[in-house]
Amino acid sequence: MEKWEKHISRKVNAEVPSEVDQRIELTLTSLPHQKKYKKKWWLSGVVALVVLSFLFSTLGLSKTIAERMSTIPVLGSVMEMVGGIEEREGQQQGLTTPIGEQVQIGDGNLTFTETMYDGQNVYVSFVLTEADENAHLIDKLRDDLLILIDGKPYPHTHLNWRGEYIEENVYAGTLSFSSISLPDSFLFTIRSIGVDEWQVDLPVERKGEKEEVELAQTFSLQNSSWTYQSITFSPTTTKVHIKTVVEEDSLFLEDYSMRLDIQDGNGRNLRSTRSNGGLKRQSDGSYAGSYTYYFEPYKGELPQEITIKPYLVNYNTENNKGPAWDQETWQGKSFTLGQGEMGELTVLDVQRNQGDLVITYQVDGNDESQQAASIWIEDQSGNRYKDDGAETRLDNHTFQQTFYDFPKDEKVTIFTEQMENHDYMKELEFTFPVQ
Amino acid sequence: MGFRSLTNEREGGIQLNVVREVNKAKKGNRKSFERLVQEYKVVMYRVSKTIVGTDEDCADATQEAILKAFYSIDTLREPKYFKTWLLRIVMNECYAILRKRNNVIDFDSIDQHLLIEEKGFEALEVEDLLQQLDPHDSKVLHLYFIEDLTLKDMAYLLDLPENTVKTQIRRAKQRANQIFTTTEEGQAWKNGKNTSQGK
Repeated sequence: MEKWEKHISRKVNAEVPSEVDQRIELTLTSLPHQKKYKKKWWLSGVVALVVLSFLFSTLGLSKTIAERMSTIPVLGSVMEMVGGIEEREGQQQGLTTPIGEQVQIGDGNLTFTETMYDGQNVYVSFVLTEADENAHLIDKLRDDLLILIDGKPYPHTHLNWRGEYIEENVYAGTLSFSSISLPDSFLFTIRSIGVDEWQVDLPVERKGEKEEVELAQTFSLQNSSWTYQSITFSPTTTKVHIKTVVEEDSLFLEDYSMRLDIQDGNGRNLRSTRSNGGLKRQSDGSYAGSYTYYFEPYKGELPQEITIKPYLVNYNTENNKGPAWDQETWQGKSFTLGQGEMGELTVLDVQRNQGDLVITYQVDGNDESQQAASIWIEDQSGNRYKDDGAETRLDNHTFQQTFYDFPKDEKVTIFTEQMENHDYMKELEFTFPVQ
Repeated sequence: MGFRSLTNEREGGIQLNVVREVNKAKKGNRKSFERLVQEYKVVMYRVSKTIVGTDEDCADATQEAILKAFYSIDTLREPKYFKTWLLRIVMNECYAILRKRNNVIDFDSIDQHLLIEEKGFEALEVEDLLQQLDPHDSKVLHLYFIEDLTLKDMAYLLDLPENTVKTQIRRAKQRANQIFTTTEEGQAWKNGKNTSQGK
């Protein structure tokens, strides 16, 4: 190593001095012990007694299940509270079934509160108390579960999982998977394997119908072929299934991810909810793959036609964003924020609702699903506030988001990100009739 | 999510405990977030030091970066990229500090104790010569020598392909060597020795 290289090496590899270390410690201890929780869902002891009789008498739940449900500190649907777009859509359409099956875990309880099956996807919501003590269980819920349908192991490949701390020491979430040839009603068994074995049996009943449209359209691009197999509409999701064959030297084997934009003739841009899939090497050196993309559902009438617009994302640089945003403080009048190459966001209204802030806004641009998700707020001191998860769609271009516990006398500044346009792959774009 | 797999799976070289901690932190676990910051505080400091120069500014930039990361961690799509995502935030905070100061890095603010400790070499002169480097060359070299940063990390932070980073490192080293070789020859000449003529 040259002398100047040694000099730089010595200079840049200094240990953290006490001044910086202390500041880091101070900053960490100043972080809030809990992010803002959805306190409106919290159940006091007195209210719990009222809810107990409600569950028992009005919903026709058995007394045992009603008693179990009343022990969890949640009022209302857990599926709606912590679920994403899919769970909320289904819950709002009345597709959930209250369950109340409970397993004791240490000093806490794991209560499975609702199930939902719309003909395409199966969902289960749960609440875990004494979550700090049982934190290891949260990882197990994702990785170490055996699923049985009517007593037989179910070869599911992707068990989706989401959750959050809803209060100190209480964790709530949902599990879901996409079904393949399930009966209209079945017993859904979840079994934990390894340490702390437990098992619950949950009755599931289909509510809702799915409609599948075969596409069977193939496109070629850069040593690969892509076949749009089908699009499936169900009450909770719109699902697109794609198969591919990729040659060994294709760029699609690099660190790229393909995402889909779904647009229809009515100007609606569907919001993506999740995706899964992968490639398998074949004996001839090529790779064969299958991908499934899920989006928010269509409610009511389906559009006349849909356009699928794939685009590439380099996930090594995807999060490589500088502080590029636009912001403005609400003064009572509508204003527009720039979202870079992607388009713009117009804030229409800001209302206070029992300590929360409800913001109504419109987006206009190239990927309104991504644009609609890019909104956050700060007070005059730069503090951010927790939102209600997925924004609510009011119409094709209008959305609403709720932010919790915003101080009464503070002015609110609304932010959105400035985004680059997608790198669309025109060669794979596909428009097809639905009706 | 790459084409090979869209689901989070174990991959060689990725520390799963980091992924697990990030997933927990994303769901509001403050202790997990603290563990992550402790894991990366050294490289956070080292990266910030290459940009802002003083420990006081490093403390400011790191503090702001921790707060921003805490409140925006749920925007991080791939937990395995937490380190470089966090360092990117640190760098942005450093640039914000520099912008407030009109991009001036005070030469006198460089750690004097480090320079004084070097023996057999005029450390202050070395630093002076390094100032002659193109700013990008200097940045590339300083990042390159940070022990906790891989080439891949560098590519991400500089928003460049890895091969381009390798080329830039090689060229920056060549240019730095030229500066020091010219200086040493000049010094030899000044001292009455002409090494190139072998006398």
